[in-house]
Amino acid sequence: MINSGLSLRAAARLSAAALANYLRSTGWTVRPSRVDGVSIFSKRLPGADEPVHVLLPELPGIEEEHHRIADALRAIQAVEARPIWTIVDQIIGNPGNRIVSGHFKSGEVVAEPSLTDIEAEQKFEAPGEVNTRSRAGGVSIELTVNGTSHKLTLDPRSSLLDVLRELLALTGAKKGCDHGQCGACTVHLDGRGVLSCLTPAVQGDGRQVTTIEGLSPPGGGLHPVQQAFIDRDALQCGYCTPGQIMAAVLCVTEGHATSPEQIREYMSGNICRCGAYAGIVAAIQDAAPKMRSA
Amino acid sequence: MRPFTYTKPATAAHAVRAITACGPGARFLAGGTTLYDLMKLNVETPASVVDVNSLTELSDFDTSGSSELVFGALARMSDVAADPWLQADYPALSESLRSAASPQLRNMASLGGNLLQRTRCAYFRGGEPFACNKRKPGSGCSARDGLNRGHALLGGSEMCIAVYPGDWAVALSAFDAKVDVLGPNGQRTIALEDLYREPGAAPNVETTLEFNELILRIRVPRTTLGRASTYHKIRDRESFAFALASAAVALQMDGHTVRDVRIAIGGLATRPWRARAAEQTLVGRPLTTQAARAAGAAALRGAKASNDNHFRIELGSRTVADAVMIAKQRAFGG
Repeated sequence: MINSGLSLRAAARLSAAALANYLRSTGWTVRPSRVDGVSIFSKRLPGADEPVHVLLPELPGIEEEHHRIADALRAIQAVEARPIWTIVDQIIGNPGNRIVSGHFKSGEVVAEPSLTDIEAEQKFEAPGEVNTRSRAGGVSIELTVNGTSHKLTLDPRSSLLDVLRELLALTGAKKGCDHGQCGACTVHLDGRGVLSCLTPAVQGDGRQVTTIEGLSPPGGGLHPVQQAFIDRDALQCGYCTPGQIMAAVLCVTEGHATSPEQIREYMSGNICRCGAYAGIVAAIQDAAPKMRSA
Repeated sequence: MRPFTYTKPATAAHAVRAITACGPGARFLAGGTTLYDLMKLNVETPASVVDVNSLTELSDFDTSGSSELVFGALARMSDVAADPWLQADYPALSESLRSAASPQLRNMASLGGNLLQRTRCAYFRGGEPFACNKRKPGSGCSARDGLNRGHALLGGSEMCIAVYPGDWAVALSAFDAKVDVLGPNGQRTIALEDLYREPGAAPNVETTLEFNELILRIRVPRTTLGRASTYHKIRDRESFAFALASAAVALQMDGHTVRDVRIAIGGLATRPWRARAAEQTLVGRPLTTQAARAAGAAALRGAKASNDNHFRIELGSRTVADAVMIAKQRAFGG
């Protein structure tokens, strides 16, 4: 399972024991599986006939391994459809899991400070602010992503990019600069190209998001722009590519793929540090007539 | 990012009431491209955010009116830039929008929010340990003796030389635009030029708006100077970059003589900068290359360079001169 930065930073704030307490108190059951060191986490959601099962490394019983806790957090949030930080808040808010010297304690277990902890302190807020955030509560929205509607309750600080990646597990949109300068997070919001890193997710309420994952219908093969990027070798490391392709599709549909100059101007918000620009322009020129005839 | 309470009112009146109730630590949120960005940097730390994106009453614009053009504060930059009437009748306004940011940002950013875009000064955005009087009053200015290649040559003070980064407001100031503002005591109208303050002794106070005043719309009086106008922007790369120097010029010729001209410059000053002295050098005189160069020099008169930006006095002067000649070409149908 992929651990991205946010779930790791969230995990750095928790002990395995605190997480296990949380699971027990929120209707999850944990039982051993047939595989050594792997447990089955199960929860029956409201209105569901059958419980959801998630296979995870045993908790507790492992050392304070942030990436394993992060795996668990991601699985929990995927099942419960709520942001990681609300889960973290709830765990921290439990009087059994008190803050000790900036770290979180559950029973006798205290997470050792690590590089990830230090990063967490820098990226998150000072410990005292966490309660304020919990008290502020969430904002409920309905967000449609690639045709699927999601009812979400969000911390209003969360960006659309973080919600797509961390909550909905759509990791196609990339976090490059996180400040609107690189274009790697480009998605379509009601059909227009936007930077998901600078879009507060709550602004997606009642709106339609399309990400690279939803560009072509399931089983429908690659979108002509995706195929053209392959044919024209329009990438090297590939990190900027989902954003490039989402912008490139609009470059064609909005009528700007008429000349290399027009393409370069339209695509100027998408930076490629590998310098694949020549291939990107060629790919868009290739794809444009195919999209028009499709 | 600091926690905040979030409200999303449905009308402008409700938005003003909501933000007034929240108190001075509150901010209006429109496109978010400046505010949300600075909140991520903990440079902006509002305790409350009032999201105005539901105020659809403010999202329209009308470029066909006989006496004025009206732009709702929530119209998006891309929609207005693409308006064919604006492109034909007021190319400077359209070009100022089209040459700003990237297509994605222009789809997000609102016209009203763009007026209030905050400086890109790295010491302002960078936070501690850098001193910045704009971010933290009284802490000092790291830019004065720091990296100041992109900083202001006009309108600065001992306290701050951060440049106003926008383009749209520069073009608007050439056309004597007005701004309608709604506050708790009702609506008022101010000249766009009076919206902005020079940093002086209080660089943290950038505009003449109160925290609970909402920009409703921007109005531009219809003028015959619109067609022969241009927004000429010089930057480090061809696109998606802030201006090292820019000029909005609008021109009306009477034969080969200048009947009327408006000049405003961007990327060079602490606020959108109307260059009236430069306009005066041209009115009533034949428009030659030398005259354009003289106007450029007049526009930059009084410019104060810092360590790294002396070249932008000449660059700014020539940008104005080039813009004047582009406008002249347009005046003759070029």
